[in-house]
Amino acid sequence: MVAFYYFSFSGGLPLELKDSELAHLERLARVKIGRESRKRLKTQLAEIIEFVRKLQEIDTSGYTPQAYVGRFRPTLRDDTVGLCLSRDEVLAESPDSERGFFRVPPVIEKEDTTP
Amino acid sequence: MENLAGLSVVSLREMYRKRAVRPVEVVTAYLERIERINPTIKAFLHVFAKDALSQARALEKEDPEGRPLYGIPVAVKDNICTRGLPTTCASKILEHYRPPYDATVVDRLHDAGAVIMGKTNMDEFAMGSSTENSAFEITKNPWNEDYAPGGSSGGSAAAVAGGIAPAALGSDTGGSIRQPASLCGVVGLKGTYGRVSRYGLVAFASSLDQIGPITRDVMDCAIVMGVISGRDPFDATSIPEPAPDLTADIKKGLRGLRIAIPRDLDTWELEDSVRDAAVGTVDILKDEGAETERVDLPGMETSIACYYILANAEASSNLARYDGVKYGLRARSDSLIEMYEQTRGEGFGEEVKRRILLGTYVLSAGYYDAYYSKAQQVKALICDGFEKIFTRFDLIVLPTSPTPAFQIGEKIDDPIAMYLSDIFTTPANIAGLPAISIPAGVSPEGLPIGMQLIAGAGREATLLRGALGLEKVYRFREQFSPDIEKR
Repeated sequence: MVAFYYFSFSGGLPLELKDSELAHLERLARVKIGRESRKRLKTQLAEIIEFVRKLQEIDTSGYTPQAYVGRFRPTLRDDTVGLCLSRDEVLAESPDSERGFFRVPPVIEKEDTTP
Repeated sequence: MENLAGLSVVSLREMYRKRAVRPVEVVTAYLERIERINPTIKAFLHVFAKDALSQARALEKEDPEGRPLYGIPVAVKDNICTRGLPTTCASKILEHYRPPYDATVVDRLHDAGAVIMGKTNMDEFAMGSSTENSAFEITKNPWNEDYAPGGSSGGSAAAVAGGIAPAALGSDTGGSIRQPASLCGVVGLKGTYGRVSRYGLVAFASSLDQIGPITRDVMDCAIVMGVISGRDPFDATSIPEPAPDLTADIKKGLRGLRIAIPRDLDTWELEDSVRDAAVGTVDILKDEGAETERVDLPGMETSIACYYILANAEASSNLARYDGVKYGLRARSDSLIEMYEQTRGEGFGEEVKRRILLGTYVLSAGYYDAYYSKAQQVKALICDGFEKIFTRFDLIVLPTSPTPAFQIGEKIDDPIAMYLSDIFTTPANIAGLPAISIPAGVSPEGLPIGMQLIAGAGREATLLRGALGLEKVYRFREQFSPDIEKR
């Protein structure tokens, strides 16, 4: 695969994310990674990051970052109220609700915010 | 009913027109075939037997020629919302989810008289290229059950290839319609970004996602695409102009079409059978009177890296909604933050977590400019390159995938190898261009090979005209079919 040669890893060092880096990502993404997959994920993520980092070698001078797609631009509609789902229909799929509200475990607690 | 497996949408329409069959009869026959074949290929996750039969019964009172898909059974990928019916995205986090509304494409299928037979297997949240990332089933390639059907719309492609649905809907974020269509020997189309409404499509990467048809041949594809295309006020990115007539000029043939051939076709590392099919296609185009010329394609070396940054950045944001509060799975916990982390840890499979973490990484402080902004610049460069090509050409032709189907389990532990099976499909998503895969032949192992056409933005009609022109010369359907069709 031509692209694979293009992106081939330069160094022979084994790539792996640090424990602290994985923990940081887990906290940002609010997703808990089980013990059995941590080792594998640290390697795979480092390899994928190395793979996509090669993009930085491409000369993009003269190009501004583009968020939209193709030549079509999103269009706006008038801000008028249309048909929408009822509160009961929406809450019907909630794991826990009470008196027309979503119910969640305690929100106010001390969260560790050290980086 | 006999020979059900070989029926196309066009042939079913003809049978209805002649009053040779009735919807209940057709739907019953397909349900029986699903019951017989699906336990082997596992294309469907959910079969809506009761709803399908009641829709069919309601149609019996109508004029068969009144609606374009009257009585046509259609399979729908399980990331497209069906009101009150399972829509799981093949994820444990949505295992028991029943959406309170229908996707716009589902409404349009119903309005066109189609009968929705059930929901098809996929890689979890459409993240994958083999359908092995499903939390529920491993779908088999109907041409050889040791092989993967491709993905992520592997269930939809296998359903059509196995003759248990004449047509299906898939979704394509980086090739998820075209790659499985190629690996299963069927036709798969992704339209211009915004051509088909995304309302009710569970979001993966919103700037890349498009719903599209998977069918047995190009004419069926044009018919189904015509039904689902068009402006939808519920999707702000849907194209305002009316969708073009896809069948008016479809039979005009290849003569006079200006077709770009990638300069690197000879040096790309392709499996021999795929290279032969590509070289053979170039000869066909010349023989049929198309004007061909070699060009440099923009971004072939960079599109996969660009794609995996943009798609995963958007995915990490889009999948933030699965938090155990509004719908879906909730893990038991005494605190809110822990509940989020546990729910997502238990509910998402490994590939989904890998992509959420990668997307989080490229958007995080200190890395945003180096990865995300840079990928958006590369995207601008790729779009610009395609725009220049389409001032001089009508179509680009290239393989859909560098190899025919690979074995189940072959790539599952090597994410980058899996990602590279989409190398030829991601550029059309990045640039928002319409692209189609059509079956061109089979490998020595008897596995299908797909060729891809890409057209300029908004040019689906030209794309289908080119595809039909090639299909007539390939004569794939006349020559090849999987053994399972005979069962």
